[in-house]
Amino acid sequence: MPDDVPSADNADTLSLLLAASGRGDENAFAELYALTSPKLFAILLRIMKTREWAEDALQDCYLRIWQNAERYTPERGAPMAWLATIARYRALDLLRARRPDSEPAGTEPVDEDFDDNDHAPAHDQTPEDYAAEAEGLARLDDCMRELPAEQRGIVLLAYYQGCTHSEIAARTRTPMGTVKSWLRRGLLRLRDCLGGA
Amino acid sequence: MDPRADDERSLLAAEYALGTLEADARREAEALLARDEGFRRELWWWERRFAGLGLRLAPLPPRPLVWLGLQRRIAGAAVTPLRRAPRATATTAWAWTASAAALVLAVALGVQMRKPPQVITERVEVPVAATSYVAVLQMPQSDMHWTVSATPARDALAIRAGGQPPAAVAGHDVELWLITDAGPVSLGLLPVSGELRRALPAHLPLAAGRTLAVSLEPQGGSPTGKPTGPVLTTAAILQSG
Repeated sequence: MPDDVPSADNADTLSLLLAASGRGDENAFAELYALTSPKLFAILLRIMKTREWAEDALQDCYLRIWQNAERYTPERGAPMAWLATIARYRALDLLRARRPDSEPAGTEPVDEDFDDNDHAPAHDQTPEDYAAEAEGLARLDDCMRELPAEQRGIVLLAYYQGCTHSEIAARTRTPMGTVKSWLRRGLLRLRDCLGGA
Repeated sequence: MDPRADDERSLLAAEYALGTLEADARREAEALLARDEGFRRELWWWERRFAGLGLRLAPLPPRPLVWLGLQRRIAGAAVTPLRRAPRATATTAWAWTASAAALVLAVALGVQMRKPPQVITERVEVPVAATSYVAVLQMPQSDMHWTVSATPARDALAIRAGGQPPAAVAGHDVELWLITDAGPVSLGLLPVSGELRRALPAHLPLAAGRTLAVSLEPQGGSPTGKPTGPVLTTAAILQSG
């Protein structure tokens, strides 16, 4: 297995907390929640747009995490990456269930500039907090930046807005075939750049 | 394997992880996931990569009610009808830590917890259900935090330290204070790791809504009985049982 997600003290801590949560240790789970929920909430709110929805989704996520903590293995990536994945899938599920009659999103502009302030840590966040992901993130950022703008735009629209092909086509007023082919080319390029799978 | 077919599999995994697939293709991917270990690993690879996009967002603490609701849902999953404030059970521990973690977030947000007025409709002596309080003090710019739990009826004070002490604390002690109407009252020095239990000073006006504060002090604690160093963090006290 390629060990491409760096481990850091932070990741070790989260691994321990996850393992303890899997054994039913409620204190560990509370600590896990305290340490990780702001990151998952940021992801959920970004995708779901509505605070109440994002909060509901966050509860769902941690209920799953509580019930499935023992299933975490390092193969799934750093603990934070695994948690982020759970959150994002949950957001996608809920978006799908709520479409199309209650589309929450305004057509928010996609990050045209990848160096926008999303990347800036929050004020109360120290660089060390990001240590667990820093290396992987830097590489991902580099590779994203190397994508042609239209390919990058679609990947970001898909990730941050939870859009399917047809939604991307509608939002960007681009033919479906073009959307698919840009996305495919973007993803293959991303995979090559990330040295992957 | 045919490299083109390889690409197709990888793309299917990537798009499944990204969420762009329409229902049919999504079901196809799910069927593959259920039976194909290689595809599963491919998917995991992409999941880890895309997680980076989510983790670059600035963290945002959710409101404490999320944790409180979660606690209810988890408790609801277990079968414990007519729970009557049991002592020293998992449920009690849960209630403690539940409020505690919620408070971490409240503190991180700088939210002033406004508790509704407590209506006491009935006063019964229930020895097993002694009132207890909890507060979580989170150091800004650091993952250092303390969970402070107190049960006045048992004179019990427990402090659990978590996270790494920030450099600023090196060579100093940190002291815990209860802010009373008459000013700060020391609750003693805080541990930088592990858990500490000690007796709670008698006649302390401990109540939900009051503030705990942590100050940086010379080694051995404040020489004057009042905080002398900078206040590092504060937190509101919650009633936890």
